[in-house]
Amino acid sequence: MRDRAEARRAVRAGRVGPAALAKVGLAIATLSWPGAAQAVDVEVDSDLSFQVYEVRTPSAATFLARRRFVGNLGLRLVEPLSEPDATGRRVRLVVAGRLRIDQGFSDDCLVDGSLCVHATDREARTEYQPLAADTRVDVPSLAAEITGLPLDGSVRLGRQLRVDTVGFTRFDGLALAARPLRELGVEVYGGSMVRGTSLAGSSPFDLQGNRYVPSSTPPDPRIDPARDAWIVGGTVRASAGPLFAASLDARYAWDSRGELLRRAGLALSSSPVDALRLDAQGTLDLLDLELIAAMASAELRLDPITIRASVDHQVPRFDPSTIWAWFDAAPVDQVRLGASGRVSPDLEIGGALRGRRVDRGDDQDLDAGLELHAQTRIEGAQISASGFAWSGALGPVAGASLEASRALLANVSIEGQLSVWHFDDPLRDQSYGTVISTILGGRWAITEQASVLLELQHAFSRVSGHRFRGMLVLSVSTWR
Amino acid sequence: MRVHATTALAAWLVIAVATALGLASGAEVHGQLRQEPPLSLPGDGRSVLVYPAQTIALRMSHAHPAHAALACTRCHERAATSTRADELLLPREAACVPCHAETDRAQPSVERCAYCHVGARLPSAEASAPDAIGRIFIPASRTPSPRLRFSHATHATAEGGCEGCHAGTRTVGLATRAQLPTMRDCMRCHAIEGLAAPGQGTSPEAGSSLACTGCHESLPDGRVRANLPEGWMNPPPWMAGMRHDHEWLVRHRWIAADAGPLCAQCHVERECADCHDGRARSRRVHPGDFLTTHAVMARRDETRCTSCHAVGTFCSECHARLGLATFSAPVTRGGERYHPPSAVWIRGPNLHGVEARRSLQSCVSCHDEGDCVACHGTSGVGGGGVSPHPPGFADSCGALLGSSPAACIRCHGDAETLRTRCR
Repeated sequence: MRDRAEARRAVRAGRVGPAALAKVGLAIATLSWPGAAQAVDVEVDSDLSFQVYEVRTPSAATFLARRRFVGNLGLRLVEPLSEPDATGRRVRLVVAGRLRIDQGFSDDCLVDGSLCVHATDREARTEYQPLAADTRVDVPSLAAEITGLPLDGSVRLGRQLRVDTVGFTRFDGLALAARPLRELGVEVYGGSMVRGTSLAGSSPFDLQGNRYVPSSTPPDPRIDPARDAWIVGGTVRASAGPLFAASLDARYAWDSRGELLRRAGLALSSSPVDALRLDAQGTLDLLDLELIAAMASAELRLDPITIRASVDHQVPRFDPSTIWAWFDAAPVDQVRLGASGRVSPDLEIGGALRGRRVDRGDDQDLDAGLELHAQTRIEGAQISASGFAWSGALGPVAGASLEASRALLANVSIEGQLSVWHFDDPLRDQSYGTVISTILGGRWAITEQASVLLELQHAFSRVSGHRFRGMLVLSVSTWR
Repeated sequence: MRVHATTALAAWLVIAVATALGLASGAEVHGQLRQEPPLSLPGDGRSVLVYPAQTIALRMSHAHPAHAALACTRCHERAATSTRADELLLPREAACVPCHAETDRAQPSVERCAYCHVGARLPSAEASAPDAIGRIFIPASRTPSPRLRFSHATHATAEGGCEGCHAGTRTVGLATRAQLPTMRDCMRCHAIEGLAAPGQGTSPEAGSSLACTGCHESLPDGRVRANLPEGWMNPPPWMAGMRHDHEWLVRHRWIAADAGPLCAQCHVERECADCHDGRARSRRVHPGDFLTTHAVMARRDETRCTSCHAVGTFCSECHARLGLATFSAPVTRGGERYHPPSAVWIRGPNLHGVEARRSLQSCVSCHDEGDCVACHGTSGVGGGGVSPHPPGFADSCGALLGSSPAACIRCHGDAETLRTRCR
């Protein structure tokens, strides 16, 4: 117990620094913004889901009996600060936040069911898993924004998500945007990067390769200690109508150990004629001057057929403070040629040929694949079907899926899905076979704002045997 | 969850049969339930979500020389002064009467009424004449209001007159949705940044360009009201490659990276996070029993995995609890080996090296850095380790060592010694 108390004190000492206080202050300031109290429009949305399933893998001694309760609560307040101008634009204050609770009731059990252990019990030294947590409370977003300012400007303060050619990031900070000319827009942002160790943070948009314990968990010698990271970036957009548009993105991030990210991205698009659209994007890692992502695509619309061709290049990237960042990871190149179209008002079909190449220096992987899809509406039922097949260096894999949904009663719809997959992992003898899965579900619209979804799944495979999964979701969404 | 397989399967069969019967025989209902809109528009290129389907039970030809010779406002009297899109501008009967003397309410007959009103008939099949008060059943026209903001009064003097927007009206019989302007027609004068062609949207009379909500209905926060009771109003095919079709799931990352502000006209950040940082998985992204197949797919398309999952935390947590990771709790670790035998995995063909180069993120989902350092570190195999770096790494590692030395130190120990080796 003494160790535990000391650990907790250490956590507190390590976390409640200026950065954490700044974040708390930001949250309080955002919530107490005077406009929020007088907001004329309020949107509240929430969803609660309960899931029951288990996770098994053939070579593991244990399986994970998973029971999870996830709740999201969102609040969005809108306060107009001016009257609309001639074009309908007006200055608005928007304060939006979202709170999420993820509560697990899971045990790790021996495959014969004779013993279940609780992975989050730190006192049980042979069972404790440092990455596991029963309760995770996080705030995916909490920001106040003023839009419609002069020069089409906006100011945003708080926790926010950003996506551009450099990728996703979530940060606590300030973002400014303006469009001084119709053809030119500028955005800049900066703040503290949100990580799994941030106050009420989560890790999906952190750099790959990090292994941090959840912020509520005491440190563990097997896992890196919490570390604050900072981020700045910007975007310049230029356009001359559909003939030409470009955006240039830059992002820089660092923590106490050094640089985490120094990247620039460029996106170009053009539609020289109505039926043709061309896109190209590239992301350069300025730490080693390697092109880590690139894409070029062409879309030709010959109604009712649309033809698309694309090539893309990806190099896996990791946090440079981890050793993975400096391994020789092979770039992956893919090519795709596809077409889709409506053969009748209620039937759309499409397909594509795909190729994949991995250059491993002394050798290369080559794979080819085919994809098909169809979507239709028959007698009030929406039906979609899709399938794919791949073969090559990575082994054969194929799958087909049929999905249907339709109204059953005035406020009730039902849906079903049947999917069949066949796969063969050449590196693992135990991982081959066919998976047959059925999903049955129903949705009940209790009111215009509230609905309940029930989904049950059964799957059978040689690898995992019978597997069942159940999910119940209650969703509520309303504006005042 | 430990359920007896036979019982569970039997229950499953009952539910499956009931669902199948429901799918096959579900009633046609018109309740509050949200339905997807039809896959296609009714052949005229106009969204039924913007211009709902109409039924105009009238017989009339704009192309008739007598009608074509008239000014539009001769019959559509209120068109020039209307300020709202939901105002009904169809001509009233009084507009027809001056020329059509057969219109005589004092002497009603089916023949007279049916001259203009399609489907005019007697109140009942048995009746042979209008009833005592002269009633004849006249089918009602149904012209729901468009979901737009629009002022005819403001546009009355626009270039091209009425036909500048309602093109071809003088050549058709009944004017239908096909004679209503499309978004592209509007953009001849009202250009949204990045969407209009050069020269478009520069009409002096049109003033500045419009935001999407200049025409489309808006939410209180200024976004377009795209989530409608009938379904989502999706962008037209020509708009910035944004058609939300079957391939959109893969393509949207490129469009969102390039045209985020355009996405934000309809969507909020929460919608990105609901999928990319969601806790309940999407069936469309993860097909049935993805738990069994996810390892195969992760090797094949790992960049898609990492658009939502952090390998070092999300994947590692589950793998550790199953006893697959090297830092798993001892009691969860099994004796079986996950990888092929060491003779081929580590030695011989060195498959682990091939696999790491091919799919390093899969390695990271279970392994700790220490696992690699044990052999690849400078005190590893042979006393000097086995370099995992790409060829020519020493020629460029000086800058990397200066900017982010933590990883170098983990394998090489002393950064100062490295500074002399890295250029």
